Parts: sequence; C-alpha cells; structure tokens
Amino acid sequence: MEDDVRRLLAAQRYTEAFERLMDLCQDKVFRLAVSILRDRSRAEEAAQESFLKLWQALPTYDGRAAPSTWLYAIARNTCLATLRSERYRKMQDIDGPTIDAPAARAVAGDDAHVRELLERLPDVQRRVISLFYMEQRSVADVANLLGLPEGTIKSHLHRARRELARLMEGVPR
Amino acid sequence: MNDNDPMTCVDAQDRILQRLDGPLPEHNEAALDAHLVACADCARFAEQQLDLDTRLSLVMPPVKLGADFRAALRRRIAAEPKQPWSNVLPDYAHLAGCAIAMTVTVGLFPAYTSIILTVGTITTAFTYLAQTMLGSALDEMEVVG
Repeated sequence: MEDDVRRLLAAQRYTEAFERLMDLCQDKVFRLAVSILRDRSRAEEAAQESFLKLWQALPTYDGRAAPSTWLYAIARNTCLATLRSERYRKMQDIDGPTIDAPAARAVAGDDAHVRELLERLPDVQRRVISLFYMEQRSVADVANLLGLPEGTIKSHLHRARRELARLMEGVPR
Repeated sequence: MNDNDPMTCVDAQDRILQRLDGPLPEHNEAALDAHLVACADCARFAEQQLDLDTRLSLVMPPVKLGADFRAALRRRIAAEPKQPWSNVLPDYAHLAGCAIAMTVTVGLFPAYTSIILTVGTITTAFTYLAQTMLGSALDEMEVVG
C-alpha cells in the first residue's frame, strides 16, 4: 500500500495519494495525537491540522522517507506545537491529583486510578505506553509513530511499567 | 550468562517485562518459569505486571476517528485559498520552454527559420491544449467533497 502511495506521489496524482494515506494512517495519526494531547477533541483537531499540512506539502515530497513516516513527523510536530502553545497550557490542569498509599490501594481496581497514575509518568513514557496499547502491542508501530528506535521504545515501556507498579503500591522513590 | 547459570532476580524481572512486549525464546521462557517457581518476590512482580497489563489494555483501547472526520477535512481543504502562482506557473514554463527551443533551433538552422517557426508554433499550441485539458481534468478530481 505504501508503495502505491509513493508511485502516486511520483506521478503527481496527489488526490489519490492523499486518500490512500488517509486510509492507511488516519487512525494512527489520531492515536498519536491522543497519546500526546491526552484529549480526544484536541487530538481530532490536531489530526485534521496534520492532514491539512500534508495536503499542502504533498508536491514537495522528495521520496527520502516513507510517506507514512513523513506524515507521522508532521503530526508529531503539530501536536507538540499545540502542546507548547500558551493557551493550551492554561486549559490544562498541570498539577495532577496527589495519591497517598492507602487511597491507592483502596481503589486499585479502578480504571480511573490507572489513568491518574499514567498522568504521573514522564511524558515520553506515558506516550509510549499509551500508544503501545492503542496500537495493539505493536512495538514497531509505536516506534514508527514516535520516530524512535524499537529498542528505545522497549526501554521506555519497561521503565513505565516499573514506575506504574511502584505508584500503584505507593512506594516512595 | 549461559542457560545453565541460575537466573538472577534482575534478569527475571527484565524477562517478565520483555514477555509483555512479545513472546520470549523458548529456553528463556523455561528458565524464567523455573525462577518464578523458586522466587516469591519475582512471582509477585510477575503477577503485578500481568494485572497492570490487563488494566492498561482496558484503559487504552485502539481508538478511532469518527465517521465525519473526512467530510470535515474535505470541507476545510476546499475552503483553503488557492495559490495563484501554482496555477499559472506551468503555463508560463511551457510557453517559455517552447520559445527557447524555437529560438535555439532557429539559431542553429537559420535557413529553415520559417519551417521551424511554423512547426514550433503548431507544436506549442497542441501541447498547450493537451496540458490545459489534463490540468482541468486533474482540478476536477482535486475538488473533493
């Protein structure tokens, strides 16, 4: 499928190439945006923005990277720019809830609790572990979406799991 | 470390985490299972990680975009202002190229100037027509939504 996209881009059949890329990648781009922005509606907006930028940039495609890799880089930059914007920061609650050990144990079975713990992970670990499950455990897909080597993804995954387990137990650092 | 060395708890916990990414080689699975039978701490770690893995997969399902995403995107693309230069530049480039080709050819073969100009003009008109028709067809395809 990706070879089809390359062929269409080389032939300057941009509309077809764009539609094929959307078929291949639109949900992955959305999940990438969700993992970075942590909000579905913001992620959908960022996904739209990413595809719009892709549409505008299609004539400049030089074939060095795979079309999907190029798209994911556009999407990452779009999401990170959104994240950095002042207005976005003001709309986010930066200080997450504090969780003491007894409360953590009491609600250990609560999915909301798992979400709260995820929010306490460093950004890159949270993104990696979120994408890993959203991409149905494909390390390769996560690596491609985040533009990182697979070994790095696994390293972040392991650190995130250890940290989550420590947070669930309420063990101090 | 070879297969006969007893597995350390550090190695065991690494293997437990690796197993959550994907299956381990068979000999590593056997060595890990043997360690877990003998080590209560690592067995507890494995159970904890498995439980966490289950919770995480429930909390983060593979989300998808809504059905109206593409329609909304197409409306947005259609509303984008067109770049005027991108429309007329191919025409100018084509005409300039034909003019340069005719000029060079006349310069090389001055005795055939009238023939060159006649053939060149007809060729220019024909290729310009073909380019315009092709461009119109592509423009129609690009008006999405």
